[in-house]
Amino acid sequence: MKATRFKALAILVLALSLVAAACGDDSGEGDTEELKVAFVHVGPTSDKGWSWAHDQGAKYLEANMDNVNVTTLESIPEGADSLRVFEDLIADGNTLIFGTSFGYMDPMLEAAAAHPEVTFLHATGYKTADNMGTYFGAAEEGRYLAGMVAGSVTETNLIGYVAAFPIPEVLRGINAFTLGAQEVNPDVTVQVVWTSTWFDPPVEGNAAQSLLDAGADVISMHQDSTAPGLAAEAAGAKWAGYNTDMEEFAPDAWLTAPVWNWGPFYLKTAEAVRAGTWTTEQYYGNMADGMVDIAPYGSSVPDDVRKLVDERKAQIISGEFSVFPATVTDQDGNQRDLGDIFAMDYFVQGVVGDPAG
Amino acid sequence: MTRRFIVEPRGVADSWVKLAVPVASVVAALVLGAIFLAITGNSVIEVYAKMLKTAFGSWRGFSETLVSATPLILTGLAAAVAFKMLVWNIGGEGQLLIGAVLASGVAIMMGDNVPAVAAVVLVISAGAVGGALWAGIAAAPRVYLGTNEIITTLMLNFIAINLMNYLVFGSFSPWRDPDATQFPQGRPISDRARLPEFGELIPGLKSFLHRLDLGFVIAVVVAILIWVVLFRTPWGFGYRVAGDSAGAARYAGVKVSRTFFATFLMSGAAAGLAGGIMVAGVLGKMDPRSLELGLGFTGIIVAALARLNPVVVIPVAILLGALINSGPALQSIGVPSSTAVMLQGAILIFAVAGEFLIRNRIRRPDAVPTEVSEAEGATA
Amino acid sequence: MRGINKSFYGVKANDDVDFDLGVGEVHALLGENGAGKSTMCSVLAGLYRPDSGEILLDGEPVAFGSPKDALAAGVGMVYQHFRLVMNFTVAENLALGHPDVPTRLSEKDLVAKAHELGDRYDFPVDPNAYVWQLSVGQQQRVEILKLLYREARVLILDEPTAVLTPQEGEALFRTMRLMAEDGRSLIFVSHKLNEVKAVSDRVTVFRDGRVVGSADTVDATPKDLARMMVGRDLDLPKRSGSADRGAVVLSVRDLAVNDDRGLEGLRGVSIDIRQGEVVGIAGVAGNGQRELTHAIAGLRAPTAGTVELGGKDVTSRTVAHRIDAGLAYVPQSRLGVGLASGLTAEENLALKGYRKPPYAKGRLLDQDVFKSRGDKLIDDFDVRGVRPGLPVRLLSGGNLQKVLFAREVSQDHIVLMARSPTRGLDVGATEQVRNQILAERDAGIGVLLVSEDLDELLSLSDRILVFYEGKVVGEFSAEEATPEEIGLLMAGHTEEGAA
Repeated sequence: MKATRFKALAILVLALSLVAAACGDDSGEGDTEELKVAFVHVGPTSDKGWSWAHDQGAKYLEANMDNVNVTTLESIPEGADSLRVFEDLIADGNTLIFGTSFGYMDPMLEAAAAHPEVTFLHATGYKTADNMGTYFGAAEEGRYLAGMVAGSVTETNLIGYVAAFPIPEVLRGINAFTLGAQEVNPDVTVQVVWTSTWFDPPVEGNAAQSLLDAGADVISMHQDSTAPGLAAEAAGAKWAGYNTDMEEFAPDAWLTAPVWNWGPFYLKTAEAVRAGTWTTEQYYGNMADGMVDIAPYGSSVPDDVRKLVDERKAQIISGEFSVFPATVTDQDGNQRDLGDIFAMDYFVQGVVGDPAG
Repeated sequence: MTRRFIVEPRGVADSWVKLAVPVASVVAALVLGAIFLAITGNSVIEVYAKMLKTAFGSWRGFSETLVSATPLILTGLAAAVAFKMLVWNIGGEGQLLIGAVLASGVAIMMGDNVPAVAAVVLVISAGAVGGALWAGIAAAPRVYLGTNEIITTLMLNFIAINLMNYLVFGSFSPWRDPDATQFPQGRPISDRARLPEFGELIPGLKSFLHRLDLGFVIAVVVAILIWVVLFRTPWGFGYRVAGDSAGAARYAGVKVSRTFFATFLMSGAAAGLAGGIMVAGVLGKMDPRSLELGLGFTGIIVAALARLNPVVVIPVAILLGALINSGPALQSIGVPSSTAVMLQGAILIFAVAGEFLIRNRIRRPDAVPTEVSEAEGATA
Repeated sequence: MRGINKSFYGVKANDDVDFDLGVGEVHALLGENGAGKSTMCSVLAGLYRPDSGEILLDGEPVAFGSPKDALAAGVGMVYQHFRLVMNFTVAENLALGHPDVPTRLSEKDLVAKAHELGDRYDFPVDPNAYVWQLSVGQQQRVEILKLLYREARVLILDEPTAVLTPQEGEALFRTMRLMAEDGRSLIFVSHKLNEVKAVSDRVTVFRDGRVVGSADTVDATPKDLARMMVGRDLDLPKRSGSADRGAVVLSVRDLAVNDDRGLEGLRGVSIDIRQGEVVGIAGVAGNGQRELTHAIAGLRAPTAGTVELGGKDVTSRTVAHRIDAGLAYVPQSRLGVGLASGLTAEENLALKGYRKPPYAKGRLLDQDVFKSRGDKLIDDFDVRGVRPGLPVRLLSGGNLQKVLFAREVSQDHIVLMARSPTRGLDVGATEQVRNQILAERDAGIGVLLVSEDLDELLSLSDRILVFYEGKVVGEFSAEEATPEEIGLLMAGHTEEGAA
């Protein structure tokens, strides 16, 4: 009984390998000039959020570079299993690989160590190698401007903030947003709810609803779904999004959002790799170089607010204005040095919530 | 009401049926997949060749397939052992995670203070104990109070997931890496508590087996051991009788509740061992993102395809590991991820349907009304 | 009903049955299991279509395609297994499938009518109670109510008292009489003579698918009915001589055991069985036999009394201990109790002995012994149809019983307990089983034989005890036992009552 079963499996495997042998190896690798670039995303590229923004960048690269072959893998879980995905991409001949989620960090580092001929770029991480760099951008600049808009339109002076995880990146965004809101409205309070997820629409929607119930009339978020916006729209509140222009999902609620524009960076990096001039770095883009921006304003944002925010934006780009001052007042009212913004572990005054989660 | 078709057990399937049906069902699955691929504008041969090449076409691919198969063997065993005894433990997922929690907890507690071999044994045993304990939470009320274990084990999965996430993301527990300031991560365990890779034991094997570690061997040995226990020991005989009919088991003097309880714990231990082996093996820490992959649920599919036979679980887990691993690679030849997932699903459904046809035959009913036996039996 | 014929699998369940039911009459159907009562009722209720014959209702021929048709014509049946939705209230169950709900019958009407009918027939039921909250007797009332709601004029009650306590049974009889006085006709299926006497106007006796007689209840003596029911035409040879009686091997003292419902199934029974003696237990099913055998086997804890095997008290010992102490047991359910249906014959033959050598060798099982012992027993007991790997559930009933007997008899034992060992077997297999039991007796084994087949008991037993409602109501030696007397006792007629 067992014997026949194994036999069946063996025959199956044999049959499949014959099929494989008959069709031969992949073709079309004749052109040595071609640059094979791969992108690995944690979510579906249709999420209209984080992964979608990166995919737009990949499409920009494809459209603006000659003889580039872009492979996109989506919905690849983070963690140790992703190593084999990177190995597969290398086996397929990709020589420049972008991993667009933090959880790929260790597997990418491992793959980088094993394949010095391949260049790796890891978004949001902090570990590097000779052939592995990191990249990210100063979303806090966009957050600050979004905060200004939100602070201008709130009537209850309570802004809800649906946030993923209590890590420096997210704390940085919340603080910048709060400072922006306070610039135009010193009485504003930002209340934070942690969801412990980047992408889970029902959880994020419920979190937003709980903030609306608590009296918030503007919802901001550090999430990849549109669920908080839908909750705000349904409640007649306002919404500052993230990642991309999401106005279509909640046209009445929409204010603006810090958005990403990865395309130019991807193009620049690919060209440097092709030219052989790329060297490892920890790239931190900003509004000045175009990696960060804010989405077009929603129809409900008054003209004077637009004007005010546009002025601030110009100052940020020109370098006249810095989002974070050298000293800040923390949640408990104590003056403190700003410190390393990449290890930020506190909230500024005006934020309600626990910075440790 | 008469039925158009009757499904009835086949009894002893002829050997040609046993051979032909799985082959036919896999072929049917591939044909269906081919039609599906053709409709969605993909090259059928290219896709299948890519799948095969990814999973088995290179030493690296093959070793990765075995890496993926390792936890699936154990979660498959967890489901097979339980289901054969009619213990509906669908909590393999949670038991795996708690196994990982306990294994990493023991490893972190020991630090560098325990010699290598003992440390590894302790860590993976802690995994098994963790899984058994988590299963025991559902087993005890099931045996003594008659609660439905499907519901309790399912609920415990969610508790386990949240507990694990809490330990890393929601608190500064010993499981959280204090050095990871940017994003919370599991605390790496000591190298002494890590399962050695084949390449570390025999340097020449590194280029063939890459990161495959001894966990795979442990999983295979456990599968064989469980087979021996179930099919070659008196306890296993009582287990099989009880799984077949509790009435006959009681009549033959088997302590059914005790057997049920032991089976439940054994099932949980197998799933927990998977978690322990992952922590001591490929992960080296309790990494929630690397553990929360639904391996416990996939184990149920493995068990079903293996017809609950512990040894057959091994090749089935390898094939399923191959199928899962080949999914992302399909995207690189332009197959959308959703299509790849659907193709995998089609292959699994046909494989399960094939197993059903081996066990049962479908025929037209006789002219006799089916109520006869019931009504006649009622007066008996 | 005229000339009703109905066959299942070539067996005639109804053979040319004629039956008349008068208006306002309670008509009892008497007969042993499988005599054809239920089949006739099912034909009348539209569940089966007769192979031939016709049904006349008020003189008009009718043909029922389904129970629904029958009900529309005013004929309804209360089955032994109730067809109620447990999570619904009584009123909801009454409404379910009723053609006038909700168009012509509102929920209020339903409730009101339930009270009205309850009052009229003296069986109050709370229409707003959930069915699961009701006792079995009350559930039965709901079933009857369902029929009354559909204006049923003919009500068929299939062994309605089988599931009732005696008190509930008496209440039911009152209701039945009231319904009959109201002009409804009732068919009452039973095999308890005293019930038939108590409630019916006429009685019809079935045997082997035929009607063997009909009479007004007042004219029929219980003795006549018992004779008609048991059909004493063939005189089976009894076992020859008496074997040497030795020591007591099984002793049951004042044993009381609860049944599945938690009621007293066995109420203080004492039995001694000696070596080389067959003790038969006669009685209609459900009078404590199951509780007795389960308590002896250790499958059910007694509430009082003791069980001794080979002189040792085993009352609180495990099943396995009793097996080791020498108890062989052929249960009534061959598959699912006596045999594990999915395992092979070889494995089932080891079901009792696998813990010990020669099956167990060290910590492992010796596969060769499974094979060799299995082959030998299969050969010795002439089990047919066994193939390697074949689950026993695919064997015929006779071969199943051979496997069971082979295992029970081949191990060391001092007592053999068997329940309905020939039920469902053909003539040849029956013969073999009976010879086996006599061979056991002659080999000095104490045999406890529980059977509903009086012929079998009379031909095999040295002594016969009659069970009724969990008690021994009579004891006969082989020489003095007559089927008439036993039949009377089985039906609950104590000697005083019958005299």
